[in-house]
Amino acid sequence: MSAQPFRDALGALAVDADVEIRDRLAILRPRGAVDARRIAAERGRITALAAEHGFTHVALELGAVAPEGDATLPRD
Amino acid sequence: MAANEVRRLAVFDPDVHEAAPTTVAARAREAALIAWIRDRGRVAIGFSGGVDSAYLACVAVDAVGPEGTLAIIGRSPSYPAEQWAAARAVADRFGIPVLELDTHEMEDPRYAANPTNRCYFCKSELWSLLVPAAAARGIATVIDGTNADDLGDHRPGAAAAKEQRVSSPLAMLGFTKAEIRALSRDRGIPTWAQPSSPCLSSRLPYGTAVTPTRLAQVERAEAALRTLGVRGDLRVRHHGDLARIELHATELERWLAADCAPLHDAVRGAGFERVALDLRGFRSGSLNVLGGVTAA
Repeated sequence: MSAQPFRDALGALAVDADVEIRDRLAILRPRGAVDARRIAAERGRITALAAEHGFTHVALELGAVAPEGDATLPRD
Repeated sequence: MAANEVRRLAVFDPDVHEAAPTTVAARAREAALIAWIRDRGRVAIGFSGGVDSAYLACVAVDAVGPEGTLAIIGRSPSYPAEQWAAARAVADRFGIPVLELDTHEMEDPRYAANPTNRCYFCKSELWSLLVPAAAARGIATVIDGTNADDLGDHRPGAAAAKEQRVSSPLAMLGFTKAEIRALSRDRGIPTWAQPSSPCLSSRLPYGTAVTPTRLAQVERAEAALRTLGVRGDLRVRHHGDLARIELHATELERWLAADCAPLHDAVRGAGFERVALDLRGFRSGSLNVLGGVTAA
């Protein structure tokens, strides 16, 4: 499993987050202020994407903001 | 109603708050259970205060009276204090005699290493103490609260029960969890809508050593979330520096729609550096899935 393809897929949903992998758990670290309502709205698609990328679990890190500077992900 | 019962009622599982009506089949099973217990005369019950063992103990008192019933609690760092309080409250309210024993599975390196069959070593320790304790009091039949729904799960502890000749009448007679909840509600047992509450070690991924410090972290975090008003099924999974919160679907939507900062602060206050909210929410046996023991 690799973080980058999953990050790219999340980017297509305009979910701007770094991905940390621990076994089959993907931890999303939002880049910039997280809009939890957006995460909630996309929750089903995010978990489905995670499964497609081989993750059994996907979690949103709370109170964390990934350092900015990587321009590979779209932001809104 | 005791204060701790009120506390348990405050964490009703939203899914079962409106429990299904008790069926004719469930009532027939209960009658069969009473007859089965009466045939044995006296029974000792492995008693955690969870939905199943609380129901079983109450039925036992109904069947053979308190003089024929002994509920035995095995206490260790993996047994939450809140669960102990719930167990004692049920026992007090329904006149169930209780014996408490300290178990020492934490001292067994095979258990502490947290292999996928960890539960086997825990239950071996538990039953190796409970069965002789019952026998010393003239009780030959020891039973547990395993139900029919449990039989399909990954439950290595069941082998230990079988080795010690512990019976599981709820499973044997085909009781489902939903039936036990409905019958418990009819009897006024306050655990009827209580979320399932496996031991705290179930919050640690396989291979992560079970230590009293980690279990205490989890227990503090879950207690803090309850204090915030989190209802229904709840698990704080321990991933070292990171706690991963699993909430019931209804609660997950509620918190995501509001503000998750209190969740973060509560769990950080329990001793975790980082806090994450699982986006699939609560799954029974979630760490079995993560560990590849069962399918996703």
